[in-house]
Amino acid sequence: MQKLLLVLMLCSLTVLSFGPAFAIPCGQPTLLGHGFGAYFVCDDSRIVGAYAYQLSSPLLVSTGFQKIYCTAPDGVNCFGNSGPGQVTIESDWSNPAIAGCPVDASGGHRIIIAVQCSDGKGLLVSLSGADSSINYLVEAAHPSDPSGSVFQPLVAGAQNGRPIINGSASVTGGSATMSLHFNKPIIYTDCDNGSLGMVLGSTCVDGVFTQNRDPLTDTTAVLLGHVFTSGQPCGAFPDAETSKWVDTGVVIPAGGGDVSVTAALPVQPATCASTVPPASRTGCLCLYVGGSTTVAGSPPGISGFVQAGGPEAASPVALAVMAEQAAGNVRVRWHTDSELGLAGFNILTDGGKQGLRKVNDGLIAATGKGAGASYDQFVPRGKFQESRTVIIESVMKDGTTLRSTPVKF
Amino acid sequence: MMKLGSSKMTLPVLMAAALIVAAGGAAIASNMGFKINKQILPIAQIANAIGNNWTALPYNIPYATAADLCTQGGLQAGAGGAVVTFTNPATNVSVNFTCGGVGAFTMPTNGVGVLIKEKGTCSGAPAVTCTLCCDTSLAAPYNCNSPTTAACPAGAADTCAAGTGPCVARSHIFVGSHNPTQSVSVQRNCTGVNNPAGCPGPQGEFWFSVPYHTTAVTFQDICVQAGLPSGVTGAQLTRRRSSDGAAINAFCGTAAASTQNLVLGEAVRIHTPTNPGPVVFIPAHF
Repeated sequence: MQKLLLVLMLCSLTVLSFGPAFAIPCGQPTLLGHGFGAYFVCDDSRIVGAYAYQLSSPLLVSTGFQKIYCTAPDGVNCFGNSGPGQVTIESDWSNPAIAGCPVDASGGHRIIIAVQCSDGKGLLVSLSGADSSINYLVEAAHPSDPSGSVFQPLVAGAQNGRPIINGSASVTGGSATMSLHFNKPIIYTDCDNGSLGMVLGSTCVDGVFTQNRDPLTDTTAVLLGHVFTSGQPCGAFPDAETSKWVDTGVVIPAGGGDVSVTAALPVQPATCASTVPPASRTGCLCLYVGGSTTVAGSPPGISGFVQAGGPEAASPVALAVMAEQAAGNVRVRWHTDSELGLAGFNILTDGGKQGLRKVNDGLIAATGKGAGASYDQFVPRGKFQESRTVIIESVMKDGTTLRSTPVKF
Repeated sequence: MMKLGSSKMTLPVLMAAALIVAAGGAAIASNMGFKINKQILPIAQIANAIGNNWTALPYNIPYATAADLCTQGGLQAGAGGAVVTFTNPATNVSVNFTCGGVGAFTMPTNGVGVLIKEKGTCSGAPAVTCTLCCDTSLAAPYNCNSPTTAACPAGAADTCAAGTGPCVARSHIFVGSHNPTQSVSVQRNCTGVNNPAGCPGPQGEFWFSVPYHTTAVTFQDICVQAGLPSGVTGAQLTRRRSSDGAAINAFCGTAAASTQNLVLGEAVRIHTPTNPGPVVFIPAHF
């Protein structure tokens, strides 16, 4: 009878505690983050993404949609040393929306943290979780002084497993064809020479990485896998759990290189149909193309991605256009979230009865290679004549154009 | 399991507590007694940590068992009722008690807090219990834009019927008094596996009942008062924010510990993983 009651009590708690459709995060708080002032050098001027997954179980244990990074202290979730150009991880494996727990009865399991900065650079970091006193303290993978109290930042780079769309991207019908380039990734770990993990001696004990490895020269630890695609909400960091992605079967050269991929564009929901006025569309999906990596024979995990755009959303229209006078010039800045199929830009101004008038000499070439990019242009003030209006015109490779919201300087 | 003794309140303390209850107020501190108007934020259907109310209780309490806490504190009883959980820091084993059930555990009085999870109440229909559906701070599908359960269709923030929401916290009155001579012993944190030498086995999952009249304001104040070690091999403090389930961690001696404020009525987890013996201290208070 007592056993029955115990079972009923546990069932009751379970019903109270857990949503029926979602995996269970750690029951007790389990640190996932920076804790001692270290940070990643990472462009955070626009959207940043970061997620973590258990190396041996990327399908079941993943931070999913949970925001695990900080770009500035907010006194609520972010208390670390983040600031302009600095990103910290500040989360916990027991937080809601995190699927699964990398700590079980056999102890902590090794995880991968993937960070992608605003400029597309990023980092891959791996932590063992073997030392329960620090759990998944990210400083374990940072260079440390011998006392384990002063840490060097890790700098994001282009070797993060992210695809780069070459200039030959095109959209035909319901699919996009892209030429992708991958750099051979590097990964920072708690086994790296000079890392806190090696100073402590308690984390690099699982044999996945060689002790005292040099992350910049150890080219055997992490291998590129297949190209994955996913249709997910535009303008946000996609859920990197591999179950949300489709393996295209396209093999990325182990040492990096170019591949060509054709992927179907996402089918848009009714709320984002072409019949809905653009300003009223919601829930639009974008095509994301991701690279994957494998470590020590582990299942592949998404290591980086590029938002390749969608037919009804994340078009290469110029965003956040700003114009200001600057010493005889007009300084015009803008950015894009997606440049698939984009050739370049024109800067337009109000030409009175003659309509809009171009003030740039030649087409300003798109530099995002399919992804987003930022632009900063100077145009002589005289070219605007009496006008103070600036409009950025996106010129697609098929000749069609998109215009930004007008701004004034 | 560690045997925990219950404290019997003396008549003067009860009288003082009664006076304070009659006077009302969120929390009134004295060496004699407390009346605590504790808000228990509601649980959610999507993830287990939302609505995790790690609760600090006075060190002298009139609740010998969790059942007494349920009854006298007015926690919801019966199927789907409130669940009180005690994690024994001597073993790291958690025991649960559903209010109205049988087999209630003995309430701790040695500075250890308890976890209370309970459904909320619809603000426009106080008799109706409810749960949150989602958290608008999260991305889809956790941000109310997608259905989570039959009771949580797309767009529903909680299970309250139209016109009866939102789902809000329940208020409970807990009473007790402080025991100024009660020392708090935080054992070394050890897990079940991969323990360093000297770890006897799982222990040290310590949820500290911060006294209601503590002089500590931040995590770091507790670190200093308790003499907790700093650095990467030092102590780590954690609070669970019941409104969204987030765990906020900080190591002693860090800027984060100095900026993380304590919240009245919340227990704070202390992990001291490296010092061989327990950290013993008497919490400072006004």
